[in-house]
Amino acid sequence: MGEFRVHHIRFYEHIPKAIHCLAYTPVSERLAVSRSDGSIEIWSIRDNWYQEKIIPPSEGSSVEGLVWHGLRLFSAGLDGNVKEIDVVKLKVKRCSSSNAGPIWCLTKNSTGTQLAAGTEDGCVVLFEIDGDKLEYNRAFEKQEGRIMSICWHTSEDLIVTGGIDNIRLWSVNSGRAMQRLTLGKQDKNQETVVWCVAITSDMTIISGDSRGKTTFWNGKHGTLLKSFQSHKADVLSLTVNQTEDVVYTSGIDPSLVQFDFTTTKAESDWKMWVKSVVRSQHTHDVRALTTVGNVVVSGGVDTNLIFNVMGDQESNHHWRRIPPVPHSSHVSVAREAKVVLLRYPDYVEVWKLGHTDKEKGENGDILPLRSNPVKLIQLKSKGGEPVICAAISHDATFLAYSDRDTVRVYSISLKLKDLMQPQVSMKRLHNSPSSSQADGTQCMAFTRNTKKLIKMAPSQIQILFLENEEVELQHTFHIPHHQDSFHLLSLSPDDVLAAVTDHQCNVYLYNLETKQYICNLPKYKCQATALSFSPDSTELVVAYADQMIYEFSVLGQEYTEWCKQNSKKYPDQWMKRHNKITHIVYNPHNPKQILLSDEQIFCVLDKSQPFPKKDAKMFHKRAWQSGEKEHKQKTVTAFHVCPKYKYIYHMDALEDDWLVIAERTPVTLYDMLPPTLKQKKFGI
Amino acid sequence: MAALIEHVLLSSFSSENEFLAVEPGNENGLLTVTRRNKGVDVFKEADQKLVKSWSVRHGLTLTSPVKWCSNINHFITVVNNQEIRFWDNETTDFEKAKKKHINTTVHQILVVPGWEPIVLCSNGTVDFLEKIRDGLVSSSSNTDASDSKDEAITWCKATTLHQHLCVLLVKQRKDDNSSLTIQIHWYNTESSTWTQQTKDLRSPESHHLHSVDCISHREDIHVYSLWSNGDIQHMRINLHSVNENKTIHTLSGLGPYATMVLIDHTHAAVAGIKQADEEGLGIMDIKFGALQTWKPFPQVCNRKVQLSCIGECLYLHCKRALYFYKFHCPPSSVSSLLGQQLDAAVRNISKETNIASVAWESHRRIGDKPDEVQNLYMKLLDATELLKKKNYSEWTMSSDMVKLIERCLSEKKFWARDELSELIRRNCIPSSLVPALFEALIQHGEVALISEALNIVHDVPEKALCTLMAFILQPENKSVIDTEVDVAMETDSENGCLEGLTPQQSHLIKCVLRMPFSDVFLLECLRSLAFRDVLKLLQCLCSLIEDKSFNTNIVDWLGLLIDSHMTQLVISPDAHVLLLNLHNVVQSQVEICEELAVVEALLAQLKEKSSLPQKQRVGQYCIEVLHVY
Repeated sequence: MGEFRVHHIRFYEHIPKAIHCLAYTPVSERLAVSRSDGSIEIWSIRDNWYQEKIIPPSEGSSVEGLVWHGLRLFSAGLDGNVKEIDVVKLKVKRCSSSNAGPIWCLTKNSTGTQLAAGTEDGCVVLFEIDGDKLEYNRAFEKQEGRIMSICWHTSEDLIVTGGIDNIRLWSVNSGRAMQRLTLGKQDKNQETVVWCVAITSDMTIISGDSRGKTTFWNGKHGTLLKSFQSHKADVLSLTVNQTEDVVYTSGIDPSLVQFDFTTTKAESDWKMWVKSVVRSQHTHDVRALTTVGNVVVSGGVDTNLIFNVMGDQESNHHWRRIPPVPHSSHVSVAREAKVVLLRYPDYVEVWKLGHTDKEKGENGDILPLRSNPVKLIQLKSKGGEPVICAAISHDATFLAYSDRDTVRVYSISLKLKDLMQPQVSMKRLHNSPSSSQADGTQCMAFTRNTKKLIKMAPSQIQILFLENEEVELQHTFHIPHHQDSFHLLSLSPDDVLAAVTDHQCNVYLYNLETKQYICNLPKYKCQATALSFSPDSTELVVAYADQMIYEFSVLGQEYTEWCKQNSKKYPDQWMKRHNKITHIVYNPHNPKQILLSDEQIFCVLDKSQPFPKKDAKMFHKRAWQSGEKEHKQKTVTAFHVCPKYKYIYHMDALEDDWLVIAERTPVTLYDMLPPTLKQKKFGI
Repeated sequence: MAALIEHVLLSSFSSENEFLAVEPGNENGLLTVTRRNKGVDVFKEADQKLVKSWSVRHGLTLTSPVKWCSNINHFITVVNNQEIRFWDNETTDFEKAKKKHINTTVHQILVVPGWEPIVLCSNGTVDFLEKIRDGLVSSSSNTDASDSKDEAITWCKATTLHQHLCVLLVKQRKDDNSSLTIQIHWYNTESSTWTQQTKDLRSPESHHLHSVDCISHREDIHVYSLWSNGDIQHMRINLHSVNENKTIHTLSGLGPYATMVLIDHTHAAVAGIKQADEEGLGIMDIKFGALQTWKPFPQVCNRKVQLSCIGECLYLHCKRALYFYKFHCPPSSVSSLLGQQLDAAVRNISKETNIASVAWESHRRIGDKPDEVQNLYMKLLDATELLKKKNYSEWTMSSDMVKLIERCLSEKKFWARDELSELIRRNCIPSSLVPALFEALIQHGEVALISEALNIVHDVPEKALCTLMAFILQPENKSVIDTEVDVAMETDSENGCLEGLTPQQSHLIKCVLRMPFSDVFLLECLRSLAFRDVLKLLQCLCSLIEDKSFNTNIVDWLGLLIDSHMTQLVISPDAHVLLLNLHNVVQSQVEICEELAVVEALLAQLKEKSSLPQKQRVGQYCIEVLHVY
């Protein structure tokens, strides 16, 4: 079917970080995920778990608490500040200090007018957030010992905090502790840390502590209802479902334990908390749990996001692991120069790919290298600022990156005659003030003639002109009433067209020459995850979060014939896939073929071949495992799947039959993780 | 391979002397345990439960094991050596048993299936119980009563051989432990009379008897005896003849209180074998003389243990407990035996015997009588004839042989050249005698033999090598120069002559240099070499290295030689020129080696390129071919 020579890159060393906090807002159906480096990811649950954006960490900050209020996102951390995050411009909008040391936990009241933070000094600090502001309100009476966990009762007047050896109930009105629940100690000299607390509307307090116990308390009387030795080590996190009859806990012992509030006898109204289901899906400590409707989401040190769908019946239960592979690409390819740009958190690297003389071989053959890949440039961002996006021109003569504030463009001169000692020189181009402002830039691309750099900021698309070692802002496309950011950009090979997408499921087409808006693609029900122009710039192919692939004719301003004929024919198995198509490109060698990849598969979609039946089994398990020729489908269909690579960080097509695939294997990701809690396993 | 299963406690006793014997019971799977002052217990073997018990009145002592006589369906025993009592299974009170008083002291009642119970009196007389009238033993034995007073019966057993009843007993003189006799009483069914034979049981010098047991197999009754020196002796008895007892095996590690019981005609259980300072019970293959299995005693038992074999079980009385061991004892196969021997060799290296010049030490003696030995040595004089025999290894392994060779080497009155030559040629010189061999050869100037020995004997000690080297290098040593050594064997015979040395010397030096050695020991021995010889040897080694025909052995010798005489070489002006020469030679060789290293790298690269395809690894980056189907 297709024969390719692949630059198989494994030297991109993306290090996923542990998940620390999770917060979900039903208003926009977004999940905020904070990681150990302080970055916050926004996931769209509506788009079947699509990672929309990554808010870079600010220097020296950590995220210990995340709270949504409507569309506003608040975070608090060990720097002692509560911050409001601008999820469009990807930076801190407001900041307010706790004045009581590092903050360990954050919560909000049910009406969303106030935030409460638990601090190192033993204070509960209240913040006003009503009316688009974030202001320090007051601090409660100081108590001994840090506050590790906090929750707010729906009645507004009661805050429950968990600390060292105790749980305190505070009156919000008086600012004083009303009650103190003392926990037992496992060892005489070992303090018990209450890592997590929750309170239900009927005043049941649920706590998880460092003894591995999940405890249910009567909050009215301050008495213990029931205590379960649910875990072998610390219970770090718990969550209560919306109807407040199911509690999930997890922690250093990564099993997810479910507790049900249920009747003990069939005809009795007497209900009690019982331990029910235990699930072992994580390999390492679970740091955060939250409920999204009937889904329990968990994340922790193993960097995976796992969600369990809690059906009424156990048989309907299904779960999914979302690996920590970013949905936006961190790798760019200069196709003509055969150079790749790798984006790391605070630097970028430019590598020259290796080359070979051999043109053909058997499947899986590793061709002898005439030259090895060479690292040409490592460019650290100024002041260690996080790099948000980066781009390289096709001939590798220009490189641009953007941090929170500035877009920087460099001209590169590469003399690669002697690959042992390549001569590389770089020069930063002078930016005019208007062109250097990043302003939330999430995506950039150079035109093929390397004269223009297109960058996308929220509600505007800018054309920067590169000439005489200067960068000038040439044009700005303003999109009225558009408040969201753009996340994908594709330029046509003839440098005339630009296609951009936003999180509102829009795909816009612009003419860069006439600087005019052309049209929108028909609005689809979910976001685009990848898009690309055909080599002749007449067609645009867009992959959506639900696995649909649409081809749009730019000239006719409608879907192409192929697309119209086949859009209803996608097999069920294809549509049921959860992984997002993150890279899509026409095969330059054969424009009838569309090459696409998600994190697990590389696929060739041949437009000249018929679609399989709706109920066709595309993924034979054996073929999936071996990828062998013998297991290929008997009837040739348009989908040609290659499961050889896992996880794919980037896929791009060069000229002829060349591909670039950047891969990072699950084993390498797993090997980087810290040691896990030792548990006896049968037979080991 | 025989195997012992873990022990099980059957019964325990209040005192160590309480236990008398364990015998088969009145049914299969039942056992009778006789307690001297307490009575009789019947146990069920399967679950070790007490089935029945008879107790004896105070003052009575059971002196003979209680036995079940299937012929009369009665238990039978002896009380206070005088009164025979027999009772059936239904009798509950021991006092209600039938009694028969006998005037003479009864030693034991013997029971043989199918025969009437036999009464053995302490004086050695034997008769059936029913024939004892009025308390008088009407034995046909012609034993002299006066003799019997001084003798004690140490062992007795009744058995049958082809329908002939035989009672065997071993008697020991009370005043002389070593004087043992075996009495054999045959019963003639036709004439209803007993006939008796007596034979001395020859004991190994100053060793006493541990235990005796017999078994009838095919045409003979085989009597095996275990002696305190570990010897197992065998005696064959049949209706017509009684053979002398002969040592067949020697057991090592036998404790002071060993005892033996025959399991079948090829296996014996021996209690009291020590392994790693622990006493235990083992099963031995008496056909091949291999200990097949061993288990330590359940408790430390520093006194005589009592061992019996009933059916598939061994019963061991140890202090105040009676244990039983189940065992499996399949017939021995050669392969299992070989495996066992290998195991024994690992466990006890001193027992290892190897024909090819290891330091052997053997307990084995060729013959017992002086005339046998004499005959043997007479034969040995004609060495060639002896060595033609296939089983000559037997001789070479004996300690006598070591002594003989030692004598040959050290004897000044004659020089057994031909014999030694033959022994060298057949590699029959034990390693312990190799230094002595070379010393003797040097002493007698046997250059040809030295050359031969160097080619054949592999394990030459470093000291002997140094002595040889000194001998060869002596300029006044005419024997070396004059003797014609077969130098045609030398591959480099054309230019084999070293500088300043005759071809013979060169050949011998090369032979010595070829020998394996340990640098630690050689360094020590080289220090004793005279400086004059050192210089000469250095010269030889130098010319050998120059010839490019050297190997690592020669370089090692050179290094060790310089190392051992470093100071003297530096100080002495005689050595300076030689050392400078040596340096030049070595330097030129180093240059060649460096060149070779370059070539080696090139060749390795070529080899790698033309090597078979291996599974390719992706590594950090690769360009690979991908076919999408």
